[in-house]
Parts: sequence; structure tokens; C-alpha cells
Amino acid sequence: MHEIKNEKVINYSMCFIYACLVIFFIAHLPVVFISVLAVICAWNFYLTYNNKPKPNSILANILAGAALVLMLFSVGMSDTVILLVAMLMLSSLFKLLQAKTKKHYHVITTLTFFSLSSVYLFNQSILTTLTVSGLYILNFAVLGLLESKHNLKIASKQSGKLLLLALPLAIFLLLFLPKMPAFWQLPGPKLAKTGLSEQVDPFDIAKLSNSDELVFRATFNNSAPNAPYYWRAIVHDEFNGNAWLTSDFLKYNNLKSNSKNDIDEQFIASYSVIAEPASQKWLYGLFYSRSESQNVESNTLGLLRKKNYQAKSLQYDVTSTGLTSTPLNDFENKRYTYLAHKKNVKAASLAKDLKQNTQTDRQFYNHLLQYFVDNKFTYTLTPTPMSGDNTIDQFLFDNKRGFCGHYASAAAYIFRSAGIPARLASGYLGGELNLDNSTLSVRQYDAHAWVEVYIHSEGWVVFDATAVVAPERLNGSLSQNEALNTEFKSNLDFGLVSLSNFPGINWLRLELENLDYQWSSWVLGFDKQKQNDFLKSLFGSRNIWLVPLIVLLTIGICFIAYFVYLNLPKRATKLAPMVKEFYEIQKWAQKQNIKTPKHLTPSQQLQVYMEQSPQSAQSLSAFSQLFNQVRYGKKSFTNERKTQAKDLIKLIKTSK
Amino acid sequence: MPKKVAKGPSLFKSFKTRVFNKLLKNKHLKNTITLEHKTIYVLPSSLGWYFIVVAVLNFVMGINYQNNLILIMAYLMFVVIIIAVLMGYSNAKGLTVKFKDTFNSFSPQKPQIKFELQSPNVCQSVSLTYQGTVQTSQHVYQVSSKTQLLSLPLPYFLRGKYDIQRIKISSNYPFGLVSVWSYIQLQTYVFVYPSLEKVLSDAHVNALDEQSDNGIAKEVGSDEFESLLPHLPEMGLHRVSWKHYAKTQQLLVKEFVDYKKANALFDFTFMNGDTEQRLSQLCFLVCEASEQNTPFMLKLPGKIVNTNTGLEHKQHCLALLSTFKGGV
Repeated sequence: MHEIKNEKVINYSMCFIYACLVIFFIAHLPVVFISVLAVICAWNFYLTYNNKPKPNSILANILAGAALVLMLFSVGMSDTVILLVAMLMLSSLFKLLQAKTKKHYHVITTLTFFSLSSVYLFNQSILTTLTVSGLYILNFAVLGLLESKHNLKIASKQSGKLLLLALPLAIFLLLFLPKMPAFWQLPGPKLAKTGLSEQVDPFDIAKLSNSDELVFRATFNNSAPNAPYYWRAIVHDEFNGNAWLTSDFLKYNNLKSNSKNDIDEQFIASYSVIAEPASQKWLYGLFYSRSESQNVESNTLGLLRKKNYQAKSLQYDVTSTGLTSTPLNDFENKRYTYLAHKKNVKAASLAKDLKQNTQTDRQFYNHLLQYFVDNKFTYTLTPTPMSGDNTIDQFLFDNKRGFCGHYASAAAYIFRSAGIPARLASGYLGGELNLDNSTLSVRQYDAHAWVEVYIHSEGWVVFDATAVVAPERLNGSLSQNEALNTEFKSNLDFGLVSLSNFPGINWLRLELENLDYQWSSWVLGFDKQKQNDFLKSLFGSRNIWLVPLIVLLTIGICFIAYFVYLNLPKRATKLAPMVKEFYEIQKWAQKQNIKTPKHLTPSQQLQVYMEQSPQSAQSLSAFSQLFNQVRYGKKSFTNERKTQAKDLIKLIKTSK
Repeated sequence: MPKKVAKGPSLFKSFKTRVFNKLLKNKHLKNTITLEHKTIYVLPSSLGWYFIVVAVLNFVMGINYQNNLILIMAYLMFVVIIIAVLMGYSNAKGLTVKFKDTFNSFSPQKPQIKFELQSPNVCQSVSLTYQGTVQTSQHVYQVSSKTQLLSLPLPYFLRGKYDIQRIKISSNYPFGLVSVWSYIQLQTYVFVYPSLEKVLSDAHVNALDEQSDNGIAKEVGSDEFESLLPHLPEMGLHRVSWKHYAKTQQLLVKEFVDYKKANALFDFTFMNGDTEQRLSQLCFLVCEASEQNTPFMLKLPGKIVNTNTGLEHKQHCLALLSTFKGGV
């Protein structure tokens, strides 16, 4: 045990690491608590910078107690993962504030290894990974600094080297060690954002779609089906006067696992989806979706749900068929035409008019679409907020400006008023195809709502008034929509998407997108199934038992090789100039059977060689001269002299 | 006040020592040790165990959240600790610790042992620890092929003779994750002499003459010629009697003797105070007499050291004073 040499640098480094962690957790912890952490961090930095002593333990403990109470109040007990992270950060920072001995710093650095990993619970993007890896190296460097008196640069270089050495082995272990199932179910961190909610109430919204956060990516197995892509996530069947909700009945129905096995359904597409971490259970699929993947359950509505809450991204395979066409029973018929609040009188009368003018439900469907076109409805992302109990009337007859939610609400209301079974579906529309047209990225701003209508003899069909009001919206993402582009971008937080007008930046954005896709597909999504496929492709399914053997062997060989390398005798220090050349001549002389007594100096030896081998005497004497010049005459061994020496050796060797 | 003796080593402690001795098989019972495969022991340090615990926590978290990035962190930590073991071992291998000398001290100063450290490859961060306490530990940041001296203070400050216990040679390189250690067990001892207490020495000088006329033992000196002795190689040439050599071709050495004017008797019973004070006073007298090259005789209850001078005599007397167990 010796005292710490680099206390200042160590404190700076730890402050830096925790400052980065604080920045990472800004989005997930309450502002008050984050600012407390930031203040402690800054305080420690200040003390280090000004060489002031650390606060005494009584003061620090009182403050820690206060901060703990504040933490419990502001963070709350509801989310245990957040609570854990908060406690970890708080305790580490307070420990740092009091740290004096080497042991204290040891505790902090080891805790930091855990804190750094916990970042990955919330964010697993490439950028985060790179940053955390950097911090990881820095943390190791701090460990090294505690042990030696190097400066930070050398210590980080050493730790970087060590980690670089260890990384291939760690990756190897990740690839080959059998993946274990979770020991027990842990609560996932609850992430707040999503573009969807169980309640569609468009009328009090004034601004929409300003998040370009990724929701999921879909990769089609064969060719992509034709646009538009309606990614269904939730079905709302109950209208409460303002908003469309999912009734308890449907929720119960949602939970029922899918026992349907109609093969004669029209096949539409099969694809795999990587959903980003989200706290909600719903997943996304086209039309009537089914999935055989683990952790995913399909229900009778053709919707997909997570089996359990998981904080990480989830990959699943989907097969989509057309929406069901089985006839509705009386109960279902009643439920899908039921309107509890009939305050939107004008809309109801409009439905009546349309119904009278049409014979079939299909005709009604077409007429209603035409109605939206004829009456100059427009699409906007900044609608006028409406209130009251007849918001649908206000929208249909006064404002006539709105986004998907408005159109869907109104249309579903009209359908139900006319006695046609209808329900509201929400999810995402479209998505952005990547460069090679196989992967679709869907972002929060692609959130959409539409109506599903039950038409006799056809079954459930999609009715989307947005399709006629803003047809461009159907094909591709909002970001690719020319007409709405300006409005869309003015709504968007500054980001790469908002710069997509510049071809270079757009190209860069798409490339990054692609990289990110590969990352989440290969690194984050490497699960048990993928591992099995990978191992099978390497060894074949018959030799799969070889895997543990190979893992053990490889690891063993790697460590042994490294150990041997470490213990290799260190190569002799660099030879003085001309010595190598002289050895070469000695070797030559040995071959020529010229023997010299051992105690002779090099010049004397050369003299002997000259006498014994007169044919090369001239070159030998030149060499001797050069040797003396370089070794004893303080002449530098320039390239010129080097070539001269080489030539002389050649001459000596060839002379006969 | 006699040296504090531990109240009989506890059963567990003696058992532990016995097991240790059996395990170590006297491998470390030498004055120079070069660390090699047989004599290096490696285990994770306390920090290393913390580190492993965190790695396991990371692993559990990675498994439970099925999170590859956290898993890779955990694997990375496991691999790092194994690499650290290999690096730590290779670092310590080849280190040579050589016992140079012991330095006895006067209470309450602590005695020291001097070592020579040397390693063919650079060996980082080496500590020598005596009895596992921080106070008696010395740290060297780097040992290279150039010999380096290190003195290790021992935790003794009370008068006495102490056998030197096993000394731990340890290194926490790299990153303090592993502790690589070995022992060196010296078969030597150190003395902590009584503290020095100044007394007037005149009273004790010449005391001898009155008590005995036994004369003084011959003392090698430089004043008066005594006899001729055959020359031995270690004697040097400056005292060779060249006259004899010229005559007889025989190398003879002239022997001179100092006839001291004064002799001293240092008697325990003549001192004042309690046992420790008396010993301290005697200690001072012995040192002073040696410095002035005065022959002296030391008389302790039940023990008499005959008159003599020189370093050996002084050390003999001081050792006796340190280990004195009687009372007033």
C-alpha cells in the first residue's frame, strides 16, 4: 500500500466519466435529481481544480442523506431500474466526493464498471457504444493510475491496449458461449416516448409528428409488397364522444392467443421486424399478422403483442395475410356499430344522406371518400384545436383541416352512424426504404390512424381518407413527401432528416441508417436463435457438440499463446552500427575455414582474414577502414556508408 | 520492563503457521530469492474480487435483459482478469531479491533490513511487506536490470532480539487486479538495543585497576612493537618486516600492541534507576567507550564480559544488553 500519486488526474477522470453518465441519463431521470448529480460532479471538479480539501465525512453524509430523500421523492419507487441507476450514480458520486484512500477509489472504479453497463439498458446505439467504450478505457486507465505513477496518456494507452487484446476473446465468447435464458424476470426500464396511444383523440392536438426517433425496421424476405404499408398496432372500438378507445372486451380479446389456422387466407408478405425498445406491449405488422417467434404472441385481431415487457430491442418474424373476412356475428356487429354519444348531429345526418344515395356498403365507402375530395379537405400537421362535444361536426363542416386522426375519427363515426361496422386502427404508415430497397425504417413521425370497415362479401377493408386528401402520404414516409415536406420539416426538431434536401447529407443519413440497421440486426439482435443458426452454419447440425470443445480449446490456446509471448526472452538491445555487417564477414570467414584466435580485436581479425584470403584482401581492407571510421572515428553510419558496407560484403563473398 | 510477549499464539494462528510452513516447504528459506514458477503465487487481489463480482453482476444483468452489449462487457471483464493474472505473473517472474544486511537500532528507533532488488526484465510496482502491515511496507515503482537498494523498516521498537519473520514480496501490477506474491524467509535476527541514556563515564573508567591486577589482555594496536608473526594473506604488506625477509626469505609481520592507559568497568549494579534505565545507561557507556576505543568490561548480574575493544566486542555487549532478562 502506497499513497496515490495521481490523485488530481484520477479525480478529473472520474468527474468526466460521471459527467458523461449524467448526460446519458438526462432523459431518464427527473430534472431535479439530475441537477443534484451534476452539482456534486461540478463540486468535485471545483475542489480538484482549486486543490481544496474534500468535505469532511459528517457534512458529506448529511448531504448524501438529503440527496437520498430527494431521490426517493423525485424518482419514486415505481421504476426499479431507474431507481437502481439513480442510487448507483448518487452513491458513486458521493463516494468520490469523500474519497481519500486508494481503497475508496477502488470501490468507485469498480462501481463505475457497473454504472457504465447500465447505460446500455436505455440506449444501445452505435454512438452510445463508442462513447461508453471510451469511458470504459478511461476507467481502466484510472485503475492503472492508482497503481503506478504514469501520466494519464500512458495509462490510457496501456488500458486501451489491454482492452483491445481482450475484445476479440470477449466477442468470441459472445458468439460461441451458449446463450442462457434469463434467470428471472427483471422489470424493464420504462421508456416514455411513443407516437401511439391507446386513446385516439386528435381534436385537442395542435402540433404533431416532431419526433424522428426510430420505432422499428422491417426487412422483407422476398420482395416488398406494394405500398401503402399500414402497420397495425392497436385497434380502437369504442367512441366516448371525443376519443376512440380500446374497450375492455377487445383488450380481453387481444389477450387470447391465436388459434386460427386458415391457410386459404391470401398471403401478403413475410418479413422480420426489429422493434426498438419501448415500454408498451404492442408490436407492428401488416394486415393480419402472425408470428411464431418467441416472446411474441399473435391475437385474433391479427395484432402482435410482446409476451413480456422487455427493455431491449426485439426481433420477430411475421407472416401477414389479408384481413379476416369471416362474417361478423350479431354481437360483433352490434359492437362495431355502437355509438355511445351521438352529439355530432351533422355528421350523423351526412351518414344518413350518403346511406340513402347508395345501395351497397362498398358504394357508401366510395361516396364517403369522394365526399372528402369534393369538399376540399386538406391535410395539415398543425390543425386548429377543437373542443366541445361535437368536435367531429366542427372538423367536418367548419375547419376541414386535419391529420389522420381527424379523418379516421370522423370517418369511423360516419360509418357507424350509417350502421356499417367500423373500427379505428392506429399504427404507422409507410416507412423509408433503405438504399437497396429491402429494409423499411419506420419512425415516430410515421404514426398514423385509419379506419377498418367491414363490408359484406369483402370482409374488413381499410378506409383511409388521408389517402385521398394527401395521396402522397401513402407512398413512402413523411420525410419523402414533397407536398408536406416544408411543413413537416418546420415541425421537426433539428436533425439529419431536416437536412435531407442536400443530396450529400441525405446520402450520409441513409448510410448511417444502414449502419445502424446492421448494428441492431447483427449486434443487438444476436439472440439464441441467431446463435443457433450461426453455429449450425459453421459446424453443421451434426457436429454441434464440438462447440464447447472448440470454445475451451480456443480460449486455452489464446491464453497460452499470450503467456508464451509475455515470457519470451526479450530481444537483445539494438546492435551498434556496423556490428551486424562485421558478424556477416565473420560468418563468411568461418565458411572459408579461416581461423582466428578469440581474443583479437575486429581490426586484427580482419587483418588475419586479409592474409588468409588474399583475393579479397582489397575489399577487406576497405571494409576495415570503414569499420574503424564508423565505430571509432565518430563518423555517422549514413545510408551511403551502409550501401558501401553492403557492396563490400558482396565483393568479399564473391571474390575467388 | 521486559519485551512484550504475545500471550501464547492462539491455536488457529499456530495451525495456520504450520499449514503455511508445510505448503511453502522451506522453499523460501534462503537469503536470495529469484521469483520463478515454483515460488510465485497469484490470486486476484481484493480489488480483483470486487471486479469479478461486478463482472458477474454485469453478466447476470446481460443475461436477464438479453443485452449483448452488457454481456460483452461482462466477458471483457472476465478476459481482462485472466490476462491480468498472466501479466502479473510474467511481471514478477525473474525478480531477484537479495538480502544485504540488517541494521540494528537503538530503541525506540526501528531496525531495518537492506535488500538488493534486480530483475532482467522490467518489473513494475513491487512491494516488500513485513508482517502484513502498511507501516512496514516499502514500495518500488520499477525494478530493472540495474541493482536497486531497498531498506525495509521492521516494526520493533522495544529492546530485544527478534528473529526475522517471513517477508512478503508482492506486486499488484497490472491495474491492481491481481496480487502476485512470494516470500523470503531470512534466517537472521535483528537487535533493538536499549535506548541511550547519557551518563558521566569517568566514574567507571579505571575502576578495573583497583579491583584486579590481572592486567589487560593483549590488544592489537600500533604503539609498541611486541613480536613477529608469520605473514598471512589478509594481513597486507605494510607491516611486513622487510629486514627479516631480506635475511631469511621469510615473510614475517611485526605485531604492535597498545598499552591502554585506562580501562573501564561497566557494572549493572553501579547504575541508577530501574532495569531499563540501567541498561540504557550501560548502552550509552558501551557506545562511548567503543568510540574512544577504550577497553571495557561489562558486568551484568550473572554475566561478565571480559575487557576488550573493537566492533565485535561492542556488538556482543550490546546484544547482551538487549536480551538481558534479569531484574534490579
